[in-house]
Amino acid sequence: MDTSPPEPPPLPPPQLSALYQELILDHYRRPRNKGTLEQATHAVSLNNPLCGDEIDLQLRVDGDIIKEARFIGRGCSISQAAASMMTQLVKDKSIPQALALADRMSAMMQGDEGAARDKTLGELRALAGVSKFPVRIKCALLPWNALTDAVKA
Amino acid sequence: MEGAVGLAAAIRYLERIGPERIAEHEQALAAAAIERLSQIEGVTVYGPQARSDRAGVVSFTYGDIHPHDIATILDQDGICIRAGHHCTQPLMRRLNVAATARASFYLYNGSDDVDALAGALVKAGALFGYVPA
Repeated sequence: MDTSPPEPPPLPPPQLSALYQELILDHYRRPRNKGTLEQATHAVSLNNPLCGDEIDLQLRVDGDIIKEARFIGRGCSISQAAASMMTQLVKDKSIPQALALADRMSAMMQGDEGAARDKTLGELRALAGVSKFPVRIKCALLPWNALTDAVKA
Repeated sequence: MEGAVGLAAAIRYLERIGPERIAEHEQALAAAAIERLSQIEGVTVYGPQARSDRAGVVSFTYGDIHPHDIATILDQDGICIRAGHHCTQPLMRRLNVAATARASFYLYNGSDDVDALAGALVKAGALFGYVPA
């Protein structure tokens, strides 16, 4: 049997490169706002028992405004990148604005092309390709579900 | 009724081949997979080294690529693996990994499947920047 290392493959199929964009891998490897908040006003721990993805999300809310969001998480690139991007996006947003973004994110995961073009989702639009991989949608929505739970608690 | 008939045919089929030959086939493929995967830089294969101590399954991780990402990438090449903690959370903690990817071989697999697995893993490595695409 040939035991030489396999040849490097040709470029990955477009679907996969759409899923694993550079921006997603960058957030996976260098997550923004990772850690805990000293003066958190809201905190939620959420996990997906089927796949083992976990997130501890903390918010510092002043009045109606999310002043800061941080997370600690463990999981796949999609869930961790989504959490990192989300903590950046919701900073200085009001709670109703953040919940509206959660709805847009959810719509984008269901394949809504309008949502995928919605500039208010910022870098999260890089995750639009996840909608083509149904079993991974829950990964991208885990941090958003944590956010929704946190502000509604 | 048809279920019982089908089961009987399946049992006759397996008895004709014999469990020893099936185990030998599985172990040979697992050994080949371990050898191939171990040559990919960044891949860690778990479990005993001795072939006789192994079933036809190969658990592995690849750098910081989460096993669920590995599974999605392999799936695109028609390769079905299991990824996660395999209901063995204490073992995962002991191994200090969040999860592993796991390929399983059986009678219907051949050495071409080992090749396909190794090739698709290199593709996963390329997507995550481990090897040049």
